[in-house]
Amino acid sequence: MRSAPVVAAASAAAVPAARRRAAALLAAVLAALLLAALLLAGCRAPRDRFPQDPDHTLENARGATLRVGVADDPPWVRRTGPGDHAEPAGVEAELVRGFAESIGARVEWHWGGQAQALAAVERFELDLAAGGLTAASPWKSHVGLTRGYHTERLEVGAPPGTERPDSIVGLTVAVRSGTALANRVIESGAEALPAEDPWATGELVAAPAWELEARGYQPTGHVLHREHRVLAVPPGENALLVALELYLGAREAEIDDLLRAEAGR
Amino acid sequence: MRVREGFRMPEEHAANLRRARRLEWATLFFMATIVAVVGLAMGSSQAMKAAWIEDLLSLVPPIAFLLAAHWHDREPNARFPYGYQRAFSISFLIAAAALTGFGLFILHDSVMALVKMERPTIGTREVFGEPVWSGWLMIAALAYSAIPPVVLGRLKLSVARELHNKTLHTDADMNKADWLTALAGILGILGIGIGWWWADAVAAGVISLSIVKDGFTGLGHSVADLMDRRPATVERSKPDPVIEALRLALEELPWVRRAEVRLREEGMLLDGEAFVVAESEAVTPERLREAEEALGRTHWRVHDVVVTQVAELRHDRAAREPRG
Repeated sequence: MRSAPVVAAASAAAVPAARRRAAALLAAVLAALLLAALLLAGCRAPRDRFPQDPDHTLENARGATLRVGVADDPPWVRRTGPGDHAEPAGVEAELVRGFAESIGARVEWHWGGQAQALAAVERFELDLAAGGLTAASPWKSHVGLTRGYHTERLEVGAPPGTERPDSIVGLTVAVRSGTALANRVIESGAEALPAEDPWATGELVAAPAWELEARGYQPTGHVLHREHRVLAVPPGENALLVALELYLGAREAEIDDLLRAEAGR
Repeated sequence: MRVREGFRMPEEHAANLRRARRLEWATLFFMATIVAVVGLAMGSSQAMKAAWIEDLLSLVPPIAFLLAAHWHDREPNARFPYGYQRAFSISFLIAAAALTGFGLFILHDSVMALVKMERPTIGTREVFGEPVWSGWLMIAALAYSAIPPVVLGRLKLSVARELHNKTLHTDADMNKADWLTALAGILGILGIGIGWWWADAVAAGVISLSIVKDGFTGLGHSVADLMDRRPATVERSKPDPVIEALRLALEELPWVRRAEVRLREEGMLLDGEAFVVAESEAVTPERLREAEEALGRTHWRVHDVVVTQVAELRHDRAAREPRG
């Protein structure tokens, strides 16, 4: 039972509301057109044109020089000789060489500590950094880290010829002293035995899976930790990052073989 | 203390309220899925983070509404003689404060990202075995995040108008504007694809500004409500025509010569006082009761307007003795 003033007020409000609706509709149409145009541009651009590098890192390196910072981290990056620009060996070194070749670039190696390499990458003074980097690195907000190209398992293995235990609780597990493994062993309920050469102790050993395999140790199936290996590129250089990730993804199956080859040395 | 009578909502409007509750539960469900989807696709994009926070915050008004809807029709008692109708205003004040606070926080974050020239790194992810640029996944997540709120917002808007519920109306308005957030986020990510590293932070700034605006608007509405502002229409915030309608309904009574009212909104309901100057006849309690019932019949929202007799209206006295 509404009185006349209520009805009058309602109809008076209808006219400006219609105008507002028209304006909103126009804005929506314009926004949709803009969105469609951008999406079309993005979809139709060849893979290497979208996304782009704000600083054109990939473009500058293509057919020219790829500046790579490396830190010692066998079997991933290994020194073969003295000098700041010596050619490294190792799984990651091999992958980087292959990537550079795929974009027609020669590699300029820069040896140093990991922090030094990453700081240079952060400031765009280097294009890539390799050696000792995992996805958990605190540098992930300063540089661009690739997706993990390989998951390294830190496992417990039994010496060749011995019986493989079902559970490691209460058993002694040797670890290389100076690594972070002793704590993880203790957390799993076993006893940690830090040693300079755990392989000589004759006990169970906690080490990366590839190393256990190379030395003939049988994996117990007990995984202490998983690390995702990554490489670093300058922050925001998404074209370089995507090209690198695609290359690493294509060679993913070979990495175990590369590790075995390295372990053989 | 004389305890107020409980309010009996007419069936048509009670049905609307039930519909509103169902819509708010649906909103909670869909916003939860959006939060999950956007959270998974988020990565290191500042704009995605802002959109995600906004989607999280969008859970607050429906929760506020549902809690208030649960409490508001409890019977007034000795401890709360006026009843629980204000639950809607209070719950919305809390929601608006949360929105404003978080919105400002995200705005600060986006501005700092721009100032520090942070560049978002967006690589690839594997989808069904194929590597895909994460930016596309983010765009897809944002596109999905635009649809349920816009649909639900329009549905809730019409119910809010029927119920004169400002809480629901503001919530619905916010939902309807979510397409802007999605668009800003998508443009930000496409901008990054083109190489404009700042596009992401700018988009995040736009999104956070919209959150802050929603928060401020909500704060304004709920504070005014709690301060017993003159009843206003749900959208336009113009004086509600019901005020004049009540005054006229009183003056139509044969024994009333002049009348004026003073009203306020408590949640969805109207209450207050009415002052009548009688014709020469004596005013009895029955006549006053009759007047109160006449007011109740004028609009379903009128609840507990107390009619009292006065010698002269304040309005008339002011006309007679203009302030010099």
